[in-house]
Amino acid sequence: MAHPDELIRRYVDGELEYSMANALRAHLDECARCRHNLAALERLDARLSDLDHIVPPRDFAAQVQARATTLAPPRHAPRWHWPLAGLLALCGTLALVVANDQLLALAARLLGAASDLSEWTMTVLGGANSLSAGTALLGLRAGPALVLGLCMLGLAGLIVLRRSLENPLEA
Amino acid sequence: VEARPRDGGQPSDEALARRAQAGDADAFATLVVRYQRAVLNLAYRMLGDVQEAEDVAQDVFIRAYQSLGRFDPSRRFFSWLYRIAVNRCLSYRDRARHDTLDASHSALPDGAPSPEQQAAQHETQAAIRQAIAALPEHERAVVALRYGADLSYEEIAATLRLPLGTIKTRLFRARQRLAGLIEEEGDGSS
Repeated sequence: MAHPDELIRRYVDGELEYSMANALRAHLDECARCRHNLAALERLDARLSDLDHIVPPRDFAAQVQARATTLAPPRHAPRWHWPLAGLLALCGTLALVVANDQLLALAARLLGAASDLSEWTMTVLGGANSLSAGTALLGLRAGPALVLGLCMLGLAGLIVLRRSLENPLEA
Repeated sequence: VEARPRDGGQPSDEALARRAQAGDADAFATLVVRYQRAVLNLAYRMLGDVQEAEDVAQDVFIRAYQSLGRFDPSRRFFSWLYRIAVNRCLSYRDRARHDTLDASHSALPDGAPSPEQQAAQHETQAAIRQAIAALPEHERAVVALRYGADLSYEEIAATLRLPLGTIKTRLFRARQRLAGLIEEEGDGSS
């Protein structure tokens, strides 16, 4: 058996099954290095466990309370983000359903435009206004429902993204 | 350690946190009393100084109070609180930039041993505290949670949001490093 450091750790933590513990003991009989490691770890574990614990001052909790009372009471953070994101996603989807024909036309034009992409890119790089160039290329005439639907879905996505990245502690 | 009482008719931490979120100051006070010793000793293991530990522990509870609105009572309160404590200790240490501990500020242990015993114990414990202070931050946090707040491996993993295997590895490495540091200290002083 090579020097079984992981087994020694589990042995110190009392996690080793009976048969493995026996195998380790057999190894320890023959290996001075592992015996030394085990003894050092057990000694250390005992020392760490015996480290002095400090007792909170008698007025610790009162001091915390006194400081807390000078602050605004904790406000339950409104958990509006998920319902709002869901509502926006639902409304956005409904708006896209209403604008179904425009959406399909847009998709078709997007696919068709892929072949002209290089030409469009050259147009943009040539200094033309990118938005108008793109719109002209796609022949896009977006109705209010389509725009609203896409905006709502985008907003729902942003809310979900922001909540996913938020630090829950902010401490 | 008074942490995490679950039985004996006592309200759970999470129930108290829910009440505190609704503005019940007594519920928050109960949580402070319940966790003051564990948080204080966790900070003491992380910082090695009694006065600093007390200051940071107070700050931890104030932060927790201010952040209560964001606590999700379906989660474990102690994990949330200890995570705040570890973060506060790490940021405090960054600010203070204390590379070594001043043994003259060390805590006096509980109880009242004789002056000779106290001196020997004091010296040994100061050496261990110095060794802990020399650990990398992520290993020091695991040691503090294990030996300061008396958490199990599983609870440390939940607190630091790390896999159990990572916690075991970090603690093992920390203990190996500590054993080496303490032996070096012993060799140097002999």
